[in-house]
Amino acid sequence: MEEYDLVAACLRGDTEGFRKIVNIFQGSLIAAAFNILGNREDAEDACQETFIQAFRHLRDYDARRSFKNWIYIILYRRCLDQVKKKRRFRSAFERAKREAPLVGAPASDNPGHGRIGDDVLGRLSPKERAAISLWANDGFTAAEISEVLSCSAATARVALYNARKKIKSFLENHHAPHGMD
Amino acid sequence: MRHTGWIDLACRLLPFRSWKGALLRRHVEKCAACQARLASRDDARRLLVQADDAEAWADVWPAVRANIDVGAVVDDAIEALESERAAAPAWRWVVAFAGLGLAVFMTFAVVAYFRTGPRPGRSGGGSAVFTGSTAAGLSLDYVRIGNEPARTLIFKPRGANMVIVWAEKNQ
Repeated sequence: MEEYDLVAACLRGDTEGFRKIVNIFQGSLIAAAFNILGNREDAEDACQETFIQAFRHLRDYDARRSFKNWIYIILYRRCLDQVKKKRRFRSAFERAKREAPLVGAPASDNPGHGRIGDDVLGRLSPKERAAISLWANDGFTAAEISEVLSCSAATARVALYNARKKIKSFLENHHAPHGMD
Repeated sequence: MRHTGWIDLACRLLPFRSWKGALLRRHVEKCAACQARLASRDDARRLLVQADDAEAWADVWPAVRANIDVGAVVDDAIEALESERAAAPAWRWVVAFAGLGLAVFMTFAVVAYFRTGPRPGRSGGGSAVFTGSTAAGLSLDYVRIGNEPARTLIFKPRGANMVIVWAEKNQ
């Protein structure tokens, strides 16, 4: 109920209430965004945009639903926007590179590049990344994941299953197996 | 352990997600052998960035604060504009209809001007007498406008297969 009280305070014009909401969620939202996007700057941008959009649409929030799920829905959509933007940029960049080859290698835009997680997460689709992040980090169930991803529970289950399978296979092939469920 | 291969195959071959979902819900989520073939939460967490790590990266509040303040100003401005528009909707229609009426009037005026211009046979009209027109050239004996000799200019643009004859009243 604490979140609901904070939302109610924001709707009364109390910006400080929204600061508390940001403090509560920013760590988990940035982490989720990073796990989906694989890039720290993009993750921070997506997180900022999520909070701004959430603030502007607080009136649309239905208090009967979980605030955490609601804000994750916004985050996931912002992340998908980033993925699309990046895809467009990459295709334009590749075209430009073909037409005028660059001198020297372009610098990596990923400060987190080189982590073991980046290798395996790179093999997952954005939906699978979101599903595994929500399941492992935030303890979401398949039904809750489906709400965030705006898909059926069956689709969320399949995405989670595929992600877990790919991670398991990666760990078995590249690292010694650790403790299992 | 043997059945896990069949489950994998079924998950790959089942044509609909709803069927796959049902298989996962009814069997895989409850079967220890199938779960052992999938990454556990701990396995996944080792690869994922955690909230505690990300918390230390950046405080997004200053940027959010700046944007929601600007957003509030913009929202107020938009709201004021919209209420202004809502208050006087008739003026917009008056201006639009006046513009449309002016455009129609101008069109009729232009058409009427060209339709009522000088024509051959009318008083004030013009006439021209050709002595001959051959492949070699064109010659004009005289041109009259309103029974008065007119000033004439014959012009052939270079490279063009045409001749322009310009006649105007002598002032």
